[in-house]
Amino acid sequence: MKFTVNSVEFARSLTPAYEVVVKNSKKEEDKPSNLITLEATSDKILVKAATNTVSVICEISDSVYGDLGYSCKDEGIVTTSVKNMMESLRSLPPSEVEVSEKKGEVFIVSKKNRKFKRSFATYDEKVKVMGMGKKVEQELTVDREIFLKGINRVFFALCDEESLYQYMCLVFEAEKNMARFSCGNGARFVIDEIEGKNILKTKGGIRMTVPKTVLPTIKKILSEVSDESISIKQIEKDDANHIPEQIVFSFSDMTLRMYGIEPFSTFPSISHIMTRDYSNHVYCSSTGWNYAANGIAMTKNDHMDKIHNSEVTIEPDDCQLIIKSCTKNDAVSPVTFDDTKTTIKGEAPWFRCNSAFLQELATCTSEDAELEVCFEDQSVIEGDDDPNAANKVGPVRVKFPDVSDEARDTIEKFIMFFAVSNQ
Amino acid sequence: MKQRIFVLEGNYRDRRAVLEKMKRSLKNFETFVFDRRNKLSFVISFITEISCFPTPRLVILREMPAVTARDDTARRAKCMKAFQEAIPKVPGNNIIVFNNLGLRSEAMLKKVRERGKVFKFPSSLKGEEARHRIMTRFKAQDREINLDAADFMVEGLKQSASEVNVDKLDMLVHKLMNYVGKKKTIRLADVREVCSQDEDFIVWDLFSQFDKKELCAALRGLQSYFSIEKEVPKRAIPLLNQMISRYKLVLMVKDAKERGLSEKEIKAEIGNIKKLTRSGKSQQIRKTVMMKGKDPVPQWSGGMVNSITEGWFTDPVKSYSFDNLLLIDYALRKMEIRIRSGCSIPEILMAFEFVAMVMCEKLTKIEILDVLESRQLLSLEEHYEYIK
Repeated sequence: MKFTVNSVEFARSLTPAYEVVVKNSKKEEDKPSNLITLEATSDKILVKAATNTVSVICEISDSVYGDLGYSCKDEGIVTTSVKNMMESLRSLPPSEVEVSEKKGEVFIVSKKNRKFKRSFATYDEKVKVMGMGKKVEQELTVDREIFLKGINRVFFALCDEESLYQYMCLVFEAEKNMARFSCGNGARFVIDEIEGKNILKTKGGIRMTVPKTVLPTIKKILSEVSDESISIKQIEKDDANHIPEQIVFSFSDMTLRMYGIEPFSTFPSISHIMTRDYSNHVYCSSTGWNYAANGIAMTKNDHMDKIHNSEVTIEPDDCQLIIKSCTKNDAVSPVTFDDTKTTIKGEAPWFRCNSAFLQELATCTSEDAELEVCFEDQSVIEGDDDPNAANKVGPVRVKFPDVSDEARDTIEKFIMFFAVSNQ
Repeated sequence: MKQRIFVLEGNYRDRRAVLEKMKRSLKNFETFVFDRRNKLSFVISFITEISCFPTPRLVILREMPAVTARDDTARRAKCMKAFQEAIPKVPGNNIIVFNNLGLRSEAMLKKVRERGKVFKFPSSLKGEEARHRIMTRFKAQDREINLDAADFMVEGLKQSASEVNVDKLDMLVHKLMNYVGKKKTIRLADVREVCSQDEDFIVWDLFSQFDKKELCAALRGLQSYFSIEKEVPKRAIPLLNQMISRYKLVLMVKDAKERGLSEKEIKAEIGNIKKLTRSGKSQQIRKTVMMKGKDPVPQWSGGMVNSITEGWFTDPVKSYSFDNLLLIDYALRKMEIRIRSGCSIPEILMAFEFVAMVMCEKLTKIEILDVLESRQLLSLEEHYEYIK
């Protein structure tokens, strides 16, 4: 195998493979964790990289990377470390380089100054990318920037707790003119819903779960490519050939496949919370929440117990929400609400929740935005042991102001909902 | 299901049956399993939180969660206190299961009973009960097991303890059921086959063969024992220690019986010998008495004494004469010194076969035991004349 390419462009084209194997695989005893197989043909280089959870197949050619300057002298296949390859390319002065393989070693030589030379080992075993089932379960084409925007908006809310593994994923739902991204940690969830006429093409409703482990890789790769839209397919498992269910992203002559999505099928449906009819709807400014969040932060200083809850009570006469931390150090903060829009049922409805949710709520929005806080009075279930009693309360739902993008003709809705606590 | 909090204690099979029943009655539910990798505060937060979704949550605690404390006792106390406070606050659609956490505190169990149920299943059974459990399990499957096969299982599992571990018993029954397939009657030979790879069984069976003076079966037993794992020297020392301990005990019981002591008195007398602490790779014995809590640990437990006095299959006390037992002890000591001072694998195997011959009374002359001190154990020719 022997070819010449531009070192900078070649390194850029290897980024997806680098992201896939270096960030997602564990080192085995006898070989490094970052192997890729390069297959050089007359007009392109085919790169394969795979781990247990994600794989990528890229076609690197002049048609995709304009400044690549690919010229093949000898066709061939080689498996080597992508880390060595990337570090070698980056350590050379930007110029045309000659990449060749001889006697179990890859040589990279700068054509500008042939004294710049790098060499590293090859491996006999080729990278194997798992096959694909035949039946396409779900399929859509979505605007790349919209998809990336949605992931970035909810990324902070992904579950970190491994004992709640079924929540360690992002749920992507789509239907005509609407893409919805949601994730949560079992107690607090966020939803980013983007509506727009030309953001996606799909035949019916779509629901896919993307494991948390591969999301950084997807984010990185999607932010590097320049395609306008990406195609996403969910392929059914093929039991006969031992091929698991997988999600396939296709763009820029690149195919990114994800496996291990089965455990996330139990992620609960959130649509009923979006449409739930609450007794109390409170409209208030986000500025007031910032003071409350800072007050909560103060009470955490001397609070030895790791459980930190706060109570939120409505004082209808003063048109205020009173946020009070349930701790030794006291922090009471009023948040004024707009009584013209607000609807309240009962004398002084209240709820209690993890203080961290209220702090997050304050950080999720810009200054002086109007928040809609919907909740049920928690007193209705106090001392109630009925198994369905908890359903009477439901989570607290906070709707943030819609953000419209006139240039793209989209409207973005952001919702957070979180569980209340008896503690 | 109106009860929300459950405590399950005891053997695995019965606990699992309760959990399965719970799952069947819930139909749709989310399962969460917590253990020592989870922090106590997280677990308490989780169980007192009202789920965002209508699906009930089944939370199984299989170990005490992690919390900072000076020692295990303090850690446990902290967890128990937190659980007691949290139990009244568990919302209606959370079901909490404390699965085999060893909860004994009456205050805690009282709290649980107010909102749920405490299930306590046996974790060990007496011989008769164990035999009954085996019979019942086979009967439930419309099969039959021979009495001697059931006794063999019970005795093998009991070994040096006075009771049978129920989890081990259930596992053995499960293995046996899988092994025999559709066969309706299970015999002793089937049990022997299933147990042929189980180290505890092999050792127990080996001692039975020594007691019965069946040299061929004993040599076969030794072969099985050393064939389980390749590392012969690592396996040799534990077996040798078991042999030394057992025959010393037989010697003492025999002596006590000759003096006309009752079983109770024998137990009390032997129980007075305390175990000394051991440490380091070489298992050097220190001169301090080993303590369990505030009580000293006896060298031989009551169960071990029972295994000698109440054996169903053999009677070791009657099987050996005094001279025989002294010769065995002498041979074992010589072998211990020989193995610990270093010898090859064939030499170790040969030494064990040699001792097996002594135990089965095929070698009775003390002079022959000099061979164990020989620099080259493999050159045995000069000693052949002593062999019967």
